[in-house]
Amino acid sequence: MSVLPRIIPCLDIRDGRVVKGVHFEGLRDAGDPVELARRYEREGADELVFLDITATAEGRTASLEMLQSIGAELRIPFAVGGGIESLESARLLLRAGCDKVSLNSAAVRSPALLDAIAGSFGSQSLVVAIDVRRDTSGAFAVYLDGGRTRSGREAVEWACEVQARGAGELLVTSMDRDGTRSGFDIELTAAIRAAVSIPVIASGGAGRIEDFAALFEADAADAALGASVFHDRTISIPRLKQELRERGIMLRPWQPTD
Amino acid sequence: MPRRIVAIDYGGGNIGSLVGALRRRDIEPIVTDDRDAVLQADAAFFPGDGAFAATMDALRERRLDSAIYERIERGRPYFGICVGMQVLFERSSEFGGARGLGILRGEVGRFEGDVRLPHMGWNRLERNVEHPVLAELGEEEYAYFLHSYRALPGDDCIATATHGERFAAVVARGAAVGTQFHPEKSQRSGEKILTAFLASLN
Repeated sequence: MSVLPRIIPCLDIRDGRVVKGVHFEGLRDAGDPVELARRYEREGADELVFLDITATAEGRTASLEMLQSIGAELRIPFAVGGGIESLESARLLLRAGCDKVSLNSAAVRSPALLDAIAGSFGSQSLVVAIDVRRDTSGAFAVYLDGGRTRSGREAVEWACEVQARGAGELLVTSMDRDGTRSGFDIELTAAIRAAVSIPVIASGGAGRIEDFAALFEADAADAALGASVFHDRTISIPRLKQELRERGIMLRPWQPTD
Repeated sequence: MPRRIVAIDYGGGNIGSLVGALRRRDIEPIVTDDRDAVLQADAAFFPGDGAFAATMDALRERRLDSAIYERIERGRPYFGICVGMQVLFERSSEFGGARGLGILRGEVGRFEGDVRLPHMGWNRLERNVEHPVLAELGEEEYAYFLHSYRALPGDDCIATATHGERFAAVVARGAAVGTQFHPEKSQRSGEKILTAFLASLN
């Protein structure tokens, strides 16, 4: 027995609502964050991620009030990302009830912030999100600002640096696959996972139960993240977990009484 | 008579989830770092997080180290979570090493072997001793862990989990209980443990 692979619904938040889009664009409303979070907990999600997608541009973090009510109600852990640009903003979010903070753009712009957060709150509370698009030569290019800015960093090399700076987990999003429902970029997450010793969450491309099975059977990730497939019930989490277990992939069992 | 339950907090950590879990049971905990409040409470929770040495320093500054020690020596209920469990041991090797409360024998050290760290996620609990705090657990229960340092199973270990090696998941000594995992984040399984502990206060 060891630690189990996790299923993580991701809630992209804008103006206090969950939204979904394709290739980081064309956003549609997908519901109330607290209500959706409760539903996912009931359905056996192992953890949740909340990303405030306009926070960075608006120079703020996700609403502390919203996170406090989620933290007091939810009985599973959750991470929050968006607009975390200082040690103080990380502190406020962790204090508000988040288990982990997730940094993306700010990590590339001021990597020393990672050392500071890990030093103050521990690696277990620090996730670094890495948005990756393959460039014309096939290299894994890291993007910032919700996919708008090319950072000039290569993903595997960047993953190793953030681990050295104290990150406790990586959230790797394939921008090429995001919203396409064509399966996870297994090659990408496997390449990163092989280079680091911290857990890796695969994101972008979840469409069918098969996609989750392929990811875990390749041992390419410690957790799989999905958004719209869960929001619109294309995949039900209880069914996903049951089918994966039947295929021999051990996940935390879901029970109707949980 | 309503029970006085304190949640030890000195402004650093995530106290909201534990407070939420207690409120769902109609318990309004006193969130405090006051030594006397901790000594006098009917039960004290300590959801420690962050580094071991920093946690011990924060406890010492407020003379909470001796308050927790005294509670446990007198057989008064204590519930330590994560680092709140680890401080019960003699020492930890984290960041060059620091002394703990020394209530339980053994040292907290980094996981050994070829495993991904932090140990982050759901892992199965393996019960090895019957104990009232585990009484409500079924055959197959999973808890949420979030840590890189662990204590090996010793005399006071009542449940273990395995991440490369077996380690202490739940410890108990008298009326003191410690969980390496987060019961407030472990959904139904965590609630069963909190319920059993609270029931033991009656």
